Amino acid sequence: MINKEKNSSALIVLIPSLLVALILQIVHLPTFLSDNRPDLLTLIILYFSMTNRIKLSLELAFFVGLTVDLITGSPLGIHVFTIALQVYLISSQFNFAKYKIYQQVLIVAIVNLVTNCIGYWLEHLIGQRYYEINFLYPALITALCWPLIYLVLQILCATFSVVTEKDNID
Amino acid sequence: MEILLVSLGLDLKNSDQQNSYIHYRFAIIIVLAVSLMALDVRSKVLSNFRYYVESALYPVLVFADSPHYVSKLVSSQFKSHSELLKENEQLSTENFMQRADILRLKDLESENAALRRLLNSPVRKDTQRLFAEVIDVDVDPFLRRVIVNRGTESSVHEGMPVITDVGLVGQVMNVNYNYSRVLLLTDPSCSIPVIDARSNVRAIATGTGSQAEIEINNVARSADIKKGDLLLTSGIGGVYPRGYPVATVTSVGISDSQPFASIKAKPLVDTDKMRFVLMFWNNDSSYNDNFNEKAKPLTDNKVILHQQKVKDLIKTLSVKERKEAHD
Repeated sequence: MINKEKNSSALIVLIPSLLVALILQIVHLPTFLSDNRPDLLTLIILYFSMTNRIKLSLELAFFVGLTVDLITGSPLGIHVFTIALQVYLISSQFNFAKYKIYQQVLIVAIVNLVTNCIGYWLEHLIGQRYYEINFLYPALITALCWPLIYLVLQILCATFSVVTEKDNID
Repeated sequence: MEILLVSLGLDLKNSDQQNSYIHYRFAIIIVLAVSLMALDVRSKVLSNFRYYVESALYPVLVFADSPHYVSKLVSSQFKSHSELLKENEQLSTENFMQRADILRLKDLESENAALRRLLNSPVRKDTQRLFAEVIDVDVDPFLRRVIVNRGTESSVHEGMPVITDVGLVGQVMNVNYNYSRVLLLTDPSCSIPVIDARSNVRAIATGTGSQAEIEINNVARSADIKKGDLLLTSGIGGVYPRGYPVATVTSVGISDSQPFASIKAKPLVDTDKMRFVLMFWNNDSSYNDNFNEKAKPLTDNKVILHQQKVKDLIKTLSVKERKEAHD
């Protein structure tokens, strides 16, 4: 067992990074950028879920999604749905952590695309009418952001010596 | 929230067991999310909850606007002296011209009121206005909505029309304590009753979700709407007062296979660039007065004239009949 006093909880990195991503999610950007905004929140939750640094990643996705819904004024639950679905699909259907980085990028792109399509369809069912459809570029940009997010969080976690679940079990 | 944070950091003994529950946990969260959506959109159970939470989140919105605000501040600091002088001169000229216009407007207003009284129709009264600043744009690229910094504390209410100096912007769709959401006229769920300023054809303009275009549906092919026509609000429906410019017609497509003409128009207000808006409400008392005020009864002279006319008509008819009888 690793000495606990030296290691800190994942929250010390998780909460600030989520806050930063949340602000990036709502901050004003030029139209070109704001239409193709990467889904950083999902990537951050995904990282912590993948590296086993948090257990309740789906529950976290629920609260983060709810906050995004409230801030952006979209129907309550739609971001909950998309974020939770992505985290669930990737963490339960793939052995994600063992894949190479380009394979991970590919998976993130496909899952993001599919999830956004389902979210769009669901909102249509609920009665929000949308006409402009732009799924592909946000999904690609989100996927390309994954290596970056991975690297940054890896460095942050190393600096703050965040424990993983496996360390605790040993 | 504390409980959540603690539970996130909790160590579970068995990670495999934890993973085996993931499907159930996911199912619960999806059911929760979908029922939240249904509750929020279909019924208005959560509207109070939204009101309080969104009011509390106002500082976050202001913070999100800060890059924009700072850049504006910086750029305004670096304006040169000559530029300022030039702008000042231009503004004062504009102000002078507009003052002159207002003088004429006062005269026209009183004349209009007098004429309307002559025509026995109720006089339109002034509406109360409120100045507001756009503080945020809803980031969802599909929704055309902005947030302005006035809420229930300034007695803003749902359905208030919003304008700028150029034309109509939209209406208030959601009010919080100190800010409110404005549904822009380009949103697909926004429809505005309009009237063609040239030919007085009534129609309904609907947003398309694109910033530069609204469309006019269900207008017969024979309707007299041409490219370049100005569309004004018609006042029908009671939400938007009449006479505010909305858009100019950019194209009228008529094809034989379609029962209706497909008409596109360009909104006068560039909703992406506006910074200040005016919100105004029909003063409740004056609004009711307008409806309670009845047309003046016809004066005695008029009644007599009218009766005289009817009598004359009957006479001529009867004379004709007599003549016919004589023949």
